[in-house]
Amino acid sequence: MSFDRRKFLKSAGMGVAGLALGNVQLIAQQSIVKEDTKRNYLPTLKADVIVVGAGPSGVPAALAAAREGAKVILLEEDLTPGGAPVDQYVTFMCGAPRVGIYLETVKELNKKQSLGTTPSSTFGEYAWDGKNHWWMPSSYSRVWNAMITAEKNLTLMCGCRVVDVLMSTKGNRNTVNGVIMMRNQLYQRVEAPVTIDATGTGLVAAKAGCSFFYGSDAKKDFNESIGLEKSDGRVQPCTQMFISQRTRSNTEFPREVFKTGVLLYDDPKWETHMTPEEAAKKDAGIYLHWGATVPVVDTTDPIQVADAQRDAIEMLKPKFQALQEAGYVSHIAPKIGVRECRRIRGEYVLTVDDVLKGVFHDDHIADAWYSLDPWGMKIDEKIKQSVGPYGIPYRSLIPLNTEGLLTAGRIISGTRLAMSSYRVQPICGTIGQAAGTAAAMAALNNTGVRNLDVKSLQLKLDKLGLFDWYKNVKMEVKNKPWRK
Amino acid sequence: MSLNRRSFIRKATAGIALGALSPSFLSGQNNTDVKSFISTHPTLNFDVAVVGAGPGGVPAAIAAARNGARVVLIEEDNLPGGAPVDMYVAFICGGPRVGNFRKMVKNLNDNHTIGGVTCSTFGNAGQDGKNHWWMPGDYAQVIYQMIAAEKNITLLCGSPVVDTIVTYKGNRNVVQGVRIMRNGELQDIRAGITIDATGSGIVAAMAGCDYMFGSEAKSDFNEHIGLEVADGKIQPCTLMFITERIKRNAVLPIDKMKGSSGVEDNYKDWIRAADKEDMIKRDAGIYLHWGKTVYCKDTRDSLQVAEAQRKALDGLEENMQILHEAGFATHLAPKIGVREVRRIKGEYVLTERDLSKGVQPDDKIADAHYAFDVWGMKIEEKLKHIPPYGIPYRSLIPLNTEGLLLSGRIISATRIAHSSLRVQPICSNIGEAAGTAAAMAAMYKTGVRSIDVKELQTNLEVNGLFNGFKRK
Repeated sequence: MSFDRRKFLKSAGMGVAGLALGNVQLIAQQSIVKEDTKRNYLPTLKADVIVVGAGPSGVPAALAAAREGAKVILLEEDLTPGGAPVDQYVTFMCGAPRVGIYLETVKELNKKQSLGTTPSSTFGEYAWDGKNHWWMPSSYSRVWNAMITAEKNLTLMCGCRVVDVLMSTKGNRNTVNGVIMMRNQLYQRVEAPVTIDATGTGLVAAKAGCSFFYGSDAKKDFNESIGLEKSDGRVQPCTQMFISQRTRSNTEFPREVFKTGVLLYDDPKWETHMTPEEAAKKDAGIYLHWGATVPVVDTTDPIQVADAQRDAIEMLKPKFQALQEAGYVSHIAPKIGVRECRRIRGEYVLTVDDVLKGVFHDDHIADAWYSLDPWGMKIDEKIKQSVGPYGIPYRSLIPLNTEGLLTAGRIISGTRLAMSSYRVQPICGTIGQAAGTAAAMAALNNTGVRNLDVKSLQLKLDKLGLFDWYKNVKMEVKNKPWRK
Repeated sequence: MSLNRRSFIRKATAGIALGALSPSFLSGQNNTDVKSFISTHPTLNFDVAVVGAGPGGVPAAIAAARNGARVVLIEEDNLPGGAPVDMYVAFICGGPRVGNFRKMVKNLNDNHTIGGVTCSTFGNAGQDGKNHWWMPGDYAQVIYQMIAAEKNITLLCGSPVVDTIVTYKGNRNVVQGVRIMRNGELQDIRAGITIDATGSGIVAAMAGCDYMFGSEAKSDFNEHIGLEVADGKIQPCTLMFITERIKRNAVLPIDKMKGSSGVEDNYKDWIRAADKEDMIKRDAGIYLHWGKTVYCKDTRDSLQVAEAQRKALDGLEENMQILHEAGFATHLAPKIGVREVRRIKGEYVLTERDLSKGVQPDDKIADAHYAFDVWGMKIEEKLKHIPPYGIPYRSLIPLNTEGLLLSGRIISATRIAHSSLRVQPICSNIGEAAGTAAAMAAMYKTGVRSIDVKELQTNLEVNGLFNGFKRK
């Protein structure tokens, strides 16, 4: 039997568990950035707003803050911005509404980067036409690079990994004053009155000592009407996406090999829902695949996530082979798609009942509409179909007992079931835009994130069109913004 | 010590491993202490630690493992492979193709040819006068397989190294391992011997090793090729991409594109506009492009590399639009291709003179054959093409440092010499030697300097590393 790395690590953990405290004290006495005098520190950077993570919530947050006049630094550990659509190949639209910066993005993608080479004519005002749309990962890089470059107040720093948070304590609150990032061998402090955690993993908030949730809640934890009797600590599994594409002209897509999870572009139907004749006529030539789905116990641990990726790719071998024999090539996403990580506890915890009842709190700063979609958990189809639009409250972006920090994207304060709805890119984009606008207001007016005038924030977002869709579109819409 | 959230999670780490951490454990504890950064992961111990699962690292790990060492292979990215996987340097250049490298490309040719059919002229070492390349994802798959075939390799992906663990003994640094970051937490990985296969030389740099960066002057090492005055410059970076047709009759708009030269798989020439008719007939439909080359002043700084990548992307906008209109999809490499970073000073500095004369040192541990190839520097044709030469073991040993070996392009060499040895087959051969030596040093508990080089050479010989230039 082959060497099982996971067993090895587990047993190593158990083995020294008893000594853990003692050993660990010796090895890592202090913050990694305090120890070594040979560590090189570059001069400290100062900004009004720091956004950590240039992904679906971070890019809109950074753009929004910059457009409000704040000096913004956007930090990204990879060499190129984009996050999930670029490195996990999550490049299709799911969820609604499509407004604000997210809408700007997809409109640009449709205009210039449509896979069909001409923009989809039915795309419409809110990117809403009942068809599936997706774009090349590199298209997202190009569009976002251009949007970021256009903002003079915005500095994008890629290849910069946040390793620590700058903190002070005041009374009974922690205050985040910025971050420390690593650029290869070099360290650099970045200071700002407001930092936005748009990492998708909640790393910055965790390092700031914020409380967080991880894994399933029990129904009674937040008095939810549906859910598990007992929490099981599980998170949604991870999916390895890939793109297949023809090479020679005499190729035929081997559709019988793929039972599910193959998406064409600009079409209402999925590949396997088409008849062979329809598929042959469409002759897409390029497909987005939900390749293989693997459970991961701890998505905060990149080693476990990488391990899952290895397993997923192994599982996909026969499919890659079938594609190769048919004259197609497969582009494997550099990272496996992670759906869920930490959820940072905030001033309000959004629950599944907020979602099911369609609640718009007084401090709502983003509209949201997507079904409950927790992979790995069965939910009554009727309940799923009944989900209507709801609002994301500002309080869910404010971590408990912490000043100077806002959360954006899927890590905001919510139960797992609620999060299974708002975790999609259009909603993360809108939350990001709200977070960025709020951060700029808090930084430039020198208030904390809590003392923000929420009405004023809502007015700004309204002017930017963030609430237009909900105001203009009837509730009885035919095409629900989620997969069948 | 007051109970804080982090120590709670540390105790519950075993719980997470068993999948039972409930959110109700996590309450709103106030952290009023100044943050202290205590690792939640226990130290791991191995015989050999290889940092960087790329062309210099994977062969090193495999060689160390087959020689009986318990090996950890540490990679910052989620997928193993390095340059061919994340920079799309999927194309073979240089030789000889022996040992592990040969096994890898044979596997790629047997099972993963882009055309779907094994190339019959590929021969023993893929040297048939034609260009060959494979999909980045296929490199990753083959590398996973080769690693999995070794019982003693633990692969840790998603683990960037943030520090080298080093102590000081007498007048030498002794490297004892590295420290990785796992999403905000630290973990120490200790090993008898560490191999720096990062391509950037960062492990060696963090250990305090002396290194060279940028052009030397000819006179620094008595070279006949090079600059009169050192200018500190390095080779530029190239953003690669792969294009394929979407609609079945789309044709690569080679006549409209400016630059971004490319190759088909299994064809001898680069594709050119003049060749368009033939290209259509060959109907490959997929091309690997040297997209855009930009100069990055300091490749040691990941931010500057990222800026170079953004500049390259801007410069590619026009071509990408042309490709899009012609019905082709563009897959950009996740990382811009970096040719040169640090060169660590070792017990011997390989020079242009050595290579031009085809040196075969007594402590040769790898065969090498490739022209001087310095992007950004003009070298006379007749001086560029050099005979096969040997890499000395001494160039893998960093000065004043024990417990550390160098692998791949960061070995001790001048810039001109580096421009030849930096290609993947040679890096792989160096890697196998480094891995074998590391295993010997770790198992026999000698330093890297005290291993029996003859024994090392015999071991490599048995594994075919010197078959490249033997008569068949």
